[in-house]
Amino acid sequence: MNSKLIQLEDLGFSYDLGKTETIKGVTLDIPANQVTAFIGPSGCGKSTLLRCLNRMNDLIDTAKITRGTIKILGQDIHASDVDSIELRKHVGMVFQKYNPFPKSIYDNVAYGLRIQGEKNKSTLDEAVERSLRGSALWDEVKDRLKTSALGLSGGQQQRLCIARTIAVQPKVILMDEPCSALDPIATAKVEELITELRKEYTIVIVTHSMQQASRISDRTAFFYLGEVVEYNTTETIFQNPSQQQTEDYISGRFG
Amino acid sequence: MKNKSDLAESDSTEEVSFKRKRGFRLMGLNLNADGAVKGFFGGNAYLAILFLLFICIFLFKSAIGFIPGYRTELAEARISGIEAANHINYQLVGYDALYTKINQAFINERRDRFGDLETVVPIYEELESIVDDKLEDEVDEYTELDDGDKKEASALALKESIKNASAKLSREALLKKIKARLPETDTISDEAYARALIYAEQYALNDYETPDEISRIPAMINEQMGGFYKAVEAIKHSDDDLRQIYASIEKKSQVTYRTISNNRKNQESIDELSKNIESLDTDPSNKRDSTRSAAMTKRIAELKPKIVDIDTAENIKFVYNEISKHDAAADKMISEFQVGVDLLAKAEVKTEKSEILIKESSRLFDELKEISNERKSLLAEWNHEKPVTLWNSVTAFFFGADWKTGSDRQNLYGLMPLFTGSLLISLVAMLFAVPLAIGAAIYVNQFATKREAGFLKPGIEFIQAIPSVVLGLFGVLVVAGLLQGLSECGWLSWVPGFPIQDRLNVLLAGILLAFMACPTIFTLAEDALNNVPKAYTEASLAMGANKLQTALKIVVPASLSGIVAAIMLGFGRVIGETMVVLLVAGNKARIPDLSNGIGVIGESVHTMTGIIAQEYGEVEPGVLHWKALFMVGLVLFLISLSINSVCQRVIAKRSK
Repeated sequence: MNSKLIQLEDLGFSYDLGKTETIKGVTLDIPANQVTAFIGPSGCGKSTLLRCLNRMNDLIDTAKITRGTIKILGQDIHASDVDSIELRKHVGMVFQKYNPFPKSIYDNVAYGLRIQGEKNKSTLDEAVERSLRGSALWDEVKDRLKTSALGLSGGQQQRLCIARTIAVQPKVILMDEPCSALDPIATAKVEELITELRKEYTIVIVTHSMQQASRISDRTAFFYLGEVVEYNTTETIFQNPSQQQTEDYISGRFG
Repeated sequence: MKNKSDLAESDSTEEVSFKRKRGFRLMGLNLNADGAVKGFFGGNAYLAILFLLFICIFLFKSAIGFIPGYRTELAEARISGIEAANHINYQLVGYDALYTKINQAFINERRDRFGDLETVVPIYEELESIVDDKLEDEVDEYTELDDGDKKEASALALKESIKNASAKLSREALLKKIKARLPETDTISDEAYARALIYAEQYALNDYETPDEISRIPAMINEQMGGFYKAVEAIKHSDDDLRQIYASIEKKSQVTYRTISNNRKNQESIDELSKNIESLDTDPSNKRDSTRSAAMTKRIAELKPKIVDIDTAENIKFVYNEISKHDAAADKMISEFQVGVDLLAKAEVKTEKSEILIKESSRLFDELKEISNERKSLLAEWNHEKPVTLWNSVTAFFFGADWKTGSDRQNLYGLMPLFTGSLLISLVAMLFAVPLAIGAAIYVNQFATKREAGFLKPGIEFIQAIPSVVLGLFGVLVVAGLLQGLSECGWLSWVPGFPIQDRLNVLLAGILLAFMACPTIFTLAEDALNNVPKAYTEASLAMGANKLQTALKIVVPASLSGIVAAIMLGFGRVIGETMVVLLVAGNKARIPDLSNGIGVIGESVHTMTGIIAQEYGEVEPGVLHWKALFMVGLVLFLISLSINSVCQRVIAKRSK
């Protein structure tokens, strides 16, 4: 069970009601409590696939799953009785550009619990502190929880977004290039955080940085033109790839 | 990649020049096509600002003479004693309001207790008219048939005979009519119905003499009303003495006032004419224009006899003499009223509505006592020689409770009734428009499918294209009737102000203006919602929030300042709207009676915009009334300006 938290079975996805497929039959299993990195050149469908996992693509009218299934914890997430809103409570997401709400730091972290109907102040306080500590932000912001989140630095804002996501204790955290808008120091902090979070959460991360993938991930999938070229442990992918294409990409010969 | 030497080579040729290209030279300016286009655009922008400045200057210039002019008129009103009369009138107005309330309570109570008996009387009145009409018709028919000379005499003879005959003949027809009419009044009881039928029979047979039983009914009812009736009777005439004093001062001082005022105006014309003649005479280029100056001299000769001597001393002596009687009369009014109020307190009141009215009237009575005391001391201090200051004139305009123009009496230019009218209508309009427009904006922006938004958005925005006069007409001809009909429905009687007394009223104007303001608020609010970064929405949805939670907790708060700006601009549009309010607000220049609470929405009011549109056509340019209208326009302009600048600040703050 643990080795197959997320199971993709011959998944096809299209942005234009099936005329052209952006993802062409992807099959892979993502294990629990590990960091899985998706790498590949721009436009290869890795972000699209990530957004399939919490059905964010539902927001696009012409988006359509053309074939295959996605199972998370054994449930088909496109089954007719699955509510995408319930799904997203368990599959959190961190975006490329940090996007805290224009509210206070506290309200940002408490948002997820509040929309689930949590009103008890002490429960909220506890969750906020736990999440902020979990995202290594607590010491930096504990004295200004009531000030606007938009006053934080970029790196802090991204870590706040992570805190906001883990506040509802999801099973999976999807990260869509979480460090691409950050400077190297902030990136290092977020990477450190991701390594920490692995203990409790299953993380799927899309990244453009090969070094980042090799530094933080346990397993890596290399995508090209909507297909998985190679999927293995990170060590194998980076040191002993079985496909020529993978080797070319990670050594910078194309892409 | 090129190396350095290549680059240096290609740039060092004489083909490259950094000199400004020469354009078309005009009056020392170096013009080229770009410059001309830029100048044209810049000119347009500055023209708009220039126009705005021009409007400001024009408004100020036209309005500026008002304050000193009004001061002169107020001073004349003081010297002629009108001011003293007004002091008394305030008490009478207070009395009238109070008496109306008590009388309403009385009538309501009487209708409740003796309603069926009361309906008998109007049924008889109608019967009378039915028979009369019938006779008239028959006589008319006869006279038309007969073209002979003795038409009239024979017609009268015929009328007499028909009258006698038809009384008996049409009895059954009359009874039928009564039966047809009676069920309309739902308050009537079986007993009263039977009684009315009996009376009707007697009536038909008695040759149109109203039976005693019928004519006795009103007195009988009043007797049974007991203490209540006595109270109303005690109050009814308590103001007689005061009213008489008021009438005599008013009558005499109005004449004086008019004479003084006309004298001044004639003198002003004469002065102006003489000045013109003088300038014509001294100007050598105008020598040929002797006819013009002769005409002016003739006009002066005409005007001079119109300036009449007036003995203000005699007039003012009369006024002071009347004032000396005032205190006794005012005290009499209060004390007699007190008797009535005491009786009222003891009287048996059965209906809730009357009880409320009486409770209100006891508060109004306290107010009346206060007004009376205040005016008493003002009259004691009153001195016709006390100068009127400019400040008095300013306060008389801004806080004046009356706008009365168009009669030969003293014109009063008080802004308050217009200002409160405008404000009240705007508030009612916003009360409807804000939830409607904001709700629509949230729906269209957050929930509507593309197809829905595709017709909802242009549809709502199309409202803006309806000419306001058309909307006004629609309001007068359709909505007014609907609203009044609706307000009379029994199940809506809990709505404050229902049933509506005035057909054209604040509520009606508010509803129509709300409709007009909707597209403005909707469009701007929708823009504001649209400007909320999609990243917020995405983040919220990714947290497992549904669309409603996202809209209400993230999108709306994030666009709040824009929504507030939209609301304020909508308010600005509503307060400046003219045509609709002119048509549907009822145009009664009086301060709405706020003691009715929310019920005030059923009253007719006038507005700042409406008064300008209504009266400006009737006044001569340059007279005080004209200037007063410009003052109102200036106030309106300043209100709109401040609303707009606050909005701009709010929007600027948001975009930071």
